[in-house]
Amino acid sequence: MQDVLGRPLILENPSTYLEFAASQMPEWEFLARLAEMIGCGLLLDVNNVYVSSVNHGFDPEAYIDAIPAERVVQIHLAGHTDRGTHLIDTHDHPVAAPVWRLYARAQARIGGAATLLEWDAHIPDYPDLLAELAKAKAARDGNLPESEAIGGTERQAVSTPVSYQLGYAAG
Amino acid sequence: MDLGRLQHWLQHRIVGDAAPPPELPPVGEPDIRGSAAFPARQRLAVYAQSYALRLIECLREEFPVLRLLVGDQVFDLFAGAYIAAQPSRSYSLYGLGAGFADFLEATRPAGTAPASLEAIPASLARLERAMAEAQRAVGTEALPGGDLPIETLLQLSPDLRLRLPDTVRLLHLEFDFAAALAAAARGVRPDQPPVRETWVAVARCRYRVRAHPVTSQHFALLQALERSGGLSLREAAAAVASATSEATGAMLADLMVWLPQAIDGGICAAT
Repeated sequence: MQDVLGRPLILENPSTYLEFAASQMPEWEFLARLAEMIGCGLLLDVNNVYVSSVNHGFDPEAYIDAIPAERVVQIHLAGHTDRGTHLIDTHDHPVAAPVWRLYARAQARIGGAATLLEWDAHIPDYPDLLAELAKAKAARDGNLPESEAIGGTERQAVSTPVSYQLGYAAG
Repeated sequence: MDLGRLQHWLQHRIVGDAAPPPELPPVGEPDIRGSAAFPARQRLAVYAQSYALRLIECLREEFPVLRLLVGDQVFDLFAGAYIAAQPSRSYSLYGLGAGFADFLEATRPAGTAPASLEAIPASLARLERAMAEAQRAVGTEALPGGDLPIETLLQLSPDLRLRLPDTVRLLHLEFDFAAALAAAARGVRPDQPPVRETWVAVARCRYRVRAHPVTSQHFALLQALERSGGLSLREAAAAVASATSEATGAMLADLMVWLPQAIDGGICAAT
């Protein structure tokens, strides 16, 4: 596909809620082997790593450590929602404390990749958004921020809401 | 384990799509890793519920006035029933709302009159879908020389060629939604729209979509342009005069006044 497109692909790790019983390879190994095999870049979403680690019961630090650092071209950060028995990647909360720890670990391994903060719903005022980005700079330098509690909700949560993409001029 | 069969089954469980072919051995929840706290059924439900909620969210965005009018709870019931009855078959979310008005029309309580309260949701959904289609159409904004100078519009010749832009949708409605659209644009819940026969031209001009109320004569003219693919001003006036028993001269005089505004508003195009 990269040959057809004439440009490199950057693949992102997803947040997941189920695994097939027949799976023979953990996700981090699959991504690492795939990246090495086809020579693509990786977009490491550390919130997705954390969400999936809670949902499936694996060690998120082992995931971060297994990703080939030289392949990572960007890191994504986001907030998630705690549904009690599992986490959902909702992009509508501040980044949670365990995710900041994973972010600092990833940046220490990778050596300073570009960072994108994803926040698609319940977007805070601009100064608060900048303050969250400032936390990323601090965490990259090893100063972990004190984070708010992970948001919980009784409502059904949808990951990455789409309302901002669909408005049209009416009236 | 056959990965293709597993994926087909998962798609069926998530999107309510066609069931897997019966000749394939069944796949089931034992093929999903679960835990006591977060069992396989609940894991599947995260995907299935998220899929339905996301589609409902898309319908909320495409039909904002109907949503404001009936409230979130009723709108979500409409949208959820539609998605369950007609699972999306389109690769694009744009196709999702195409059948919503027809679904609301087909499922409104039996025996209700055409202009009764129960007819409002389908009628309003038809109007809002038309606005979405007008927004999506290619349009003429980016074409060089698409607009005639205003001086030309003020000196309309009977030989001027008229056509309907692809960004126009024509609707003959049993309710007047003008106040409802205005209220929704202010973020206010609209009052119940009055029963009133209205002719509406949904049009886009400089990328802004508006619903223009028009007279029945102007509506007939626009329909004639739609059917024919284009007419001269003289032909259009004659066609509408014939259909409405107006004198051609009177119709032509009326169009000389109305057309510059219509062309400027994107309701009609002239070359």
